Amino acid sequence: MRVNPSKLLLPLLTLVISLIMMSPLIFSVLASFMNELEIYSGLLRIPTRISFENYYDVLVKYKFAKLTINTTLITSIVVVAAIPVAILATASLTLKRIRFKRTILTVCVIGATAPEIMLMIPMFSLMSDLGLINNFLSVILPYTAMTICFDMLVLYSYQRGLPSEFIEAAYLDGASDWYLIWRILTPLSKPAIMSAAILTTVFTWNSFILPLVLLPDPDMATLPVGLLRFSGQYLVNVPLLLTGSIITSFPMIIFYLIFQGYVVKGVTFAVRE
Amino acid sequence: MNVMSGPKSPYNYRKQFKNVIGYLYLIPFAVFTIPFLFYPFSQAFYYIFLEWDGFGEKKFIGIYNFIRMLGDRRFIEALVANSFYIIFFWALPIILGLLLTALVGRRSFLGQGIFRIAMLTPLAMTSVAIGIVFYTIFSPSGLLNEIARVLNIPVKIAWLGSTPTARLAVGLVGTWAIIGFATILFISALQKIPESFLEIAELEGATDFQKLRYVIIPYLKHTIIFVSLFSLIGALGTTAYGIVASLTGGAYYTRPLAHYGYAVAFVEYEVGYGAAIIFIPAVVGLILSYIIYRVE
Amino acid sequence: MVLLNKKFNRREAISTAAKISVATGLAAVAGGVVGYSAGSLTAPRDTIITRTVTQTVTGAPEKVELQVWDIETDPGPYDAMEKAIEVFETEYPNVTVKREAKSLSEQTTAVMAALQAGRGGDVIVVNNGETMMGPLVRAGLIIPLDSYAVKYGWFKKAFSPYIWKRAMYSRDGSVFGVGNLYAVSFRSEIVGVFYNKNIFRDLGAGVPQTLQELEDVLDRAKRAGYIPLAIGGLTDWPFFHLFGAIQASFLAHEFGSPLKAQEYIDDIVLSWREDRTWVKDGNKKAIQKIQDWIKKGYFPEGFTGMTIEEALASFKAGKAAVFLQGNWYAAEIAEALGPKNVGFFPVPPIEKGEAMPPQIGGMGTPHGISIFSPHQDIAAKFLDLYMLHPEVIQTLVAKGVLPAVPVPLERVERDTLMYDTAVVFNKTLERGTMWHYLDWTTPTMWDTMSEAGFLVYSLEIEPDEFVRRVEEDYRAWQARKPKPA
Repeated sequence: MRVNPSKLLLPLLTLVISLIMMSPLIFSVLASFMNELEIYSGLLRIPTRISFENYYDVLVKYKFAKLTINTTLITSIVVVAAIPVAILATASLTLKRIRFKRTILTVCVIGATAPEIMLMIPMFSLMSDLGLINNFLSVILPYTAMTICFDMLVLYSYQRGLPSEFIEAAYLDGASDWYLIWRILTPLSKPAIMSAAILTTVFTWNSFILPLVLLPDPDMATLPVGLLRFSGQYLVNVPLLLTGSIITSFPMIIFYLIFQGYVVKGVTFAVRE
Repeated sequence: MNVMSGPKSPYNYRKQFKNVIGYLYLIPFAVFTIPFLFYPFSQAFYYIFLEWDGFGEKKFIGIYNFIRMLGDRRFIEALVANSFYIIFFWALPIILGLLLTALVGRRSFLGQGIFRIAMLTPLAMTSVAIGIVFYTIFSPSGLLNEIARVLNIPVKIAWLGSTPTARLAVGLVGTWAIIGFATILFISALQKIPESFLEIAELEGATDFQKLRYVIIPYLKHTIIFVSLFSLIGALGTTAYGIVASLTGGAYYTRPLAHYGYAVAFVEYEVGYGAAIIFIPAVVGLILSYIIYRVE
Repeated sequence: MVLLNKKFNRREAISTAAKISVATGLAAVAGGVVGYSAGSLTAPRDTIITRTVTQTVTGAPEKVELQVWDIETDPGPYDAMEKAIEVFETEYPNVTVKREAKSLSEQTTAVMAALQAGRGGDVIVVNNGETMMGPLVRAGLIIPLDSYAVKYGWFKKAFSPYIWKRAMYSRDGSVFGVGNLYAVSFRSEIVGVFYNKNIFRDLGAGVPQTLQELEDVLDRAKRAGYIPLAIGGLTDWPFFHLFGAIQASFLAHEFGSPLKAQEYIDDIVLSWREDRTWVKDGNKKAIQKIQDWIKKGYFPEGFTGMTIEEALASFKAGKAAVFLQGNWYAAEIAEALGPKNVGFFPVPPIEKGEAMPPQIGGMGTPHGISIFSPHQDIAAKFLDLYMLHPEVIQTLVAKGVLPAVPVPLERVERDTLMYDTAVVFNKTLERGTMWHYLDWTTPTMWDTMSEAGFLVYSLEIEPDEFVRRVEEDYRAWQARKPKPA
């Protein structure tokens, strides 16, 4: 092997890249302690004072604490509910010889990428007919449906790359279909399930169009909807908006720190020979 | 992510099961998606054939909305902007991400943990915060002009105030938003390449670039496809929309199609035409992902 | 046909739901309740959110929940709205007001989705003209408020006949500015010129009496190293105010009187008259003036890449001499610079001795009553209180916001920013000339004018081309505009 100059260069280079990637987040945290004028005169400065007044206002006065609970509730139900449904549906695609397989997968692509803006009006009529306006279910049900579609895409492609020996062996041992799905296939697909869950957590957490119209009650709002409270008709409260943004992102950042290993495991697919 | 094509699965045990059960497994999926996603979706799809102000009577006009686009200057402008964003949201993150992957390779290095976390931070930021922070970089009194001033470079001051530079700014923010995610996925996929392949390549004296071309890219195909799908959705839908809305306030020359469609539907009250415009990127996304799978 | 059926079915479903709800209500209340006012207009929503029993004949009044979907999210109006709710709930203890405030564009989409399903707030935002009111009236989704206006004396107590026109539409929604009243607002708006008194003192300048004098001040400010006029060109809507204000001066000059100019703009914005045209010298001269100012460097460097927020921040920081904008910024500016250090004057006429030209302004974004509201009378009571209750007015004034009624000047401290804005507004009310927000003209005018405005800013188009583009939009609307039935 040649002597590699990157032994020294690599850490340096990646450090620079890391700083560039992270700096917007760092700036936005710093800026949440500044007033408007300081923000507009460039963020390359240390805030003159560190005061948590903005954070207190956003959490208490603007009820972001409550919104965090709402968003957590909606997101966790959506993500958790979607997984078993997606596992089962994907199993029928990977284990079974069924017709319309491609159609189902195409439908999943459509479902995972459906433009929410256009869904808004029919969705409101539907939820209104069901009496679910201002009920978390009005948001949970459609987002779960979208999440199922996304999960299936991730799961299907992961499972296609799995070595078949495990499953064949289990089958030869006389394992039932049910056993095969939940005891063999699911543990094998854990990385894919985890990464799909993590990605859909972020998607659901940040989505705001359906909660905006389906949960008009301000106490039922989600965090991204709550951010709208800082821009009025003419005035935008930039410091509070940034503070609110950080409170909105904070749980996701913590979430990433805990689970970042999983994000990559599941969507990096097994190599096919 | 082999969604639409690919060889028949090699599993022979499948034949043993009664296939009917396979359909039963799809029931929960259908229970969730048909009433709560595809039924409203089909209604929304119907809008694209309507002349409708969102409040009053709906008038069926067939495909007229699509004919109308051809003569709509603002539509063309949004289409051009959006095509431009696809380069920055899709192509650039993948190319740069692969180069970075080739560079980092499978080496472990100091600060690896920080690098991973740093690369994923854009995903955790709201588009509002992204917009505000990058505004302070591109604004007349922003960081970019400040640097230019210090270095005595005469530059155009209003980065966001002219079509090419504003689109470039949006594009660069998009690249930043997606490149980290792409790179992290590529690097970890690289860990799975059989040791022997890279060793052989090295023994044969392959350069970093040759390794990238002949070993890494073919083995990362699946991952590249996944990242492509993810970034295309971003370029055609919410990511680009969010960045444009918060960075330039949705200035007309920076609007992607989804944004223009929204304005048509809900500011100008042409819900049918707006819906048709919003469906264009969705359809383009579908076609592009189909092509990607076929290429594989 | 299918569509009609569907609509019919929905209405039918709603009325069935109403019957059920009335039945439930009767059972639950066990006496005292006769039912709700079963007029054809009062199709209630289903009962999930609200128990819909409104009118009581005897006994204790029923508990009612009134939903208010407003857009008053800016700090001053936000507090005033909260005040209105507090006072209302005190005066009518049986009513609980549920407020759902969102900013304008989000609330508009929320209202649209809700009305499609036959629901939504009782009180909803109804922005003026074709930006919302027209489509809502044509679809029959909001109720006329004339009987309430007479009952509560709104026309006498608030605004002016002239301003009321802007909340009116013909019953079939084909003509703006005449016919029935569809919405009211609790605040007034006036666009003018904020000026930093310290900078003016430093420049030895007084309040300009002509546009040329204003230009001279800008020139002196430029030479003294200040930003002459703070403006953000990246945000699209401030252009409407800048252009509209200067346009009004030039057109008043061209027509020889503010009233004639007013008639012209009414014919265009309100009546969409075919025989009116944007191709006018005054319009071109206004664009020419803006471009002259840009060429002379009166606007901040790189302003086309700057937002209104940053421009406002620079004025608040005392860096800019003037800021041409609406009084909605008054409270923030007064707080930043001190209420006595900032003044406000109307956009001056072209020549000395000419009357004050029309100034942009009018009522704040108004609110109306949904046809699906089961509590229309209560909603009207709320609108009355929100617009005219002394405590609400006091809250508005204290926050630097102009209320719907003329501000009694003797009650405002002199030489403050609030005093100045009230003077300009009252004067404009008296004259009966008030310029419109130009984006009301046609549904596409917002886009047309913000695009053309941007090209004016970047000096990419000449005044002739600007006028041509706007005229083209106006002509396209002539072909498309709603025709009387």
